[in-house]
Amino acid sequence: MSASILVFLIVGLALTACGVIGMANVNTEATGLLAALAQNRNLYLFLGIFVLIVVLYRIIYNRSTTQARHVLSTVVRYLILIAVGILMVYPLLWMVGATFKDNVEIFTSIGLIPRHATFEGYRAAMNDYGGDINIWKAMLNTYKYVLPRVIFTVLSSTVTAYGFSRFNFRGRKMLFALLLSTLFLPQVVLNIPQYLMYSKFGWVDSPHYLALIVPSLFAQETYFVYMLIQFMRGIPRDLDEAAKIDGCGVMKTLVLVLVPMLWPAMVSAALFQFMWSSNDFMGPLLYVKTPANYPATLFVRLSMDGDSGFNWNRVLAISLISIIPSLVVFFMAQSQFMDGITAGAVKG
Amino acid sequence: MQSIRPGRRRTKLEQGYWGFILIMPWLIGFLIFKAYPFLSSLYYSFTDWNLFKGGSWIGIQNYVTAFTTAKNLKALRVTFIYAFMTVPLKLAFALFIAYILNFKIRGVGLFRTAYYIPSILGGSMAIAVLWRAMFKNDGVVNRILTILGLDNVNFLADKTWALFIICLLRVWQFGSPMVLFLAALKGVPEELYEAASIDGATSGRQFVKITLPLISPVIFYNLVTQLVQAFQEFNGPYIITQGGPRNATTLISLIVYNSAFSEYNVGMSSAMAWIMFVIVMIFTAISFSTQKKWVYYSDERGDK
Repeated sequence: MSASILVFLIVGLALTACGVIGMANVNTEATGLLAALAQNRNLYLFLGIFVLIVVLYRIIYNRSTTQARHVLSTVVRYLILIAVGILMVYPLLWMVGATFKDNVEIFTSIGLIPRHATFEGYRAAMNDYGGDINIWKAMLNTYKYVLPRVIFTVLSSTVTAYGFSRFNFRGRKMLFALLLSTLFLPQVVLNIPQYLMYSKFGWVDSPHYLALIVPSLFAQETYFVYMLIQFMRGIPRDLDEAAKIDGCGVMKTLVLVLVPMLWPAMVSAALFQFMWSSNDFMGPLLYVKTPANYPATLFVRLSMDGDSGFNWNRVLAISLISIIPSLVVFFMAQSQFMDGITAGAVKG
Repeated sequence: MQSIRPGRRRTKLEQGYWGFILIMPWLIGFLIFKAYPFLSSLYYSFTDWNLFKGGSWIGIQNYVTAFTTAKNLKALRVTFIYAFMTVPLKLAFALFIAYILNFKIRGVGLFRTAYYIPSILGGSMAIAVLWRAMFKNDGVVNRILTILGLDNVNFLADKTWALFIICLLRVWQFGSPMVLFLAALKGVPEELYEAASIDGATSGRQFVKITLPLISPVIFYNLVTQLVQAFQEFNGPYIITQGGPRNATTLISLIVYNSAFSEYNVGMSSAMAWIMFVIVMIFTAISFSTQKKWVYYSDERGDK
């Protein structure tokens, strides 16, 4: 038995002992150390037993044959993955269950499946708020700026990436360095001057969400430009040259030759922009003021802060409805998401 | 006349004005939506600009106030704690799970999806609401603690715990760095591990000596992007704890927002934003300048 296992064994036994001593002193008038042990007895017991299980596993592992070790470590890997997976998904599943619970059950049971399923939360979620806005209208408002933003971002980023990766012009290196430096430029520094500028333009509280849409026409989301540049670099230039020899102009080459090759990257960019724009809170918070124009993010907050602060099933139902489009898009396009994040970073 | 220098490999890039025309929209946008706001916020930070009334030059007064007011100093401290608690934890979790997923595991896709969903939704209002519902005084987390026989915690009213649950929300979103780590781990050649085991290296040693150096570019990328993001966090504390209790979760971004839009003090707000910008720049610069020491780029990556 190695020294480290021995140390862990002692720690495990000590913690368990603390827990047991604590248990024995729960209902006594003990003071000082004993009282402290009694108070946190379960914590000590959990930690102690956990450490002992790890030690036990290690001892068994060390005495096993290679084959048995293989099985053991595989089992442990699955156990960890499942345990962490449950922790990751539990909040979301609890949320789904909670929307069908009544307001008492939400906070008295930790189960996922409601005992007395009720649609009260959903029924209340449909209510108008102040006569101007309800969840459906808010969702509609959201996609009124999210969809244009997605389309404009992808188009403008593709054109910019094309310019940078396929052409040489005076100052290209310097401009490219500028482009990359904006990757690290915190949006917080820009927010207030942008707000002042947009209010001069009359874009604040514009019913057409101009402040949220117009900048996307100018390829200002550097991440996507960068991602598309990386992708375009991987497409052989011979293709463009062949197209040129065949008499394709600059734009025709882009549309007919490069876009079909770039399509997966463009889809990834569109998906990410869709998610980020639908989740965006700061933008609407600054630039949408009229309740009738509220997008889902602001509506969810309104319903949480509003007079119905105790109707958690309603608030959670509204929240859940607001993320359903994102969830549907995610499940339909999972692999593009995974490819998308790796494309921007790893292919560098 | 440009870029065709003697001795340089002839570039196949097309010459001429077309490239410039193509990037023109970006350049115009950059000047209007990035460069101008960036510089004007620097200017505002030296003024007592009011959101509605305008203002005039007051020198470094805002910066002096920023570093002498208890509230602002606390926000700086809390932001540092937040960033240095969440980023290492998030990356450690991401790497740990990616490492396990990289073994021949059935259902990798299923696990990857489960771990990735929080990253997609984590920034949304809905999840902030959920967090508040779960960590309420009589919320489900306290119910679980009771069932386990542990003491209940007033998560939203206790200074330490409030910051903790804000951090937890971000650590929960470890899916996107995890996907990057997983892709990097899959790129480590199997032969290296085989050679190392023949030489008698334990799996721990293999991890430190082979895996970590080979995935260091991705560690570096994740570190920089996560740090930049963590310093800017706004939604979580703004919605879940509203910066409270007693400013325990007031990050710099909240001060920036509140100074400008509740106190209408654009000057102060810009100064705080610039302090944050300089901090982010310093950490990015440190990461970049130390990368030669610990980031390993294999030869085929570099330009030949």
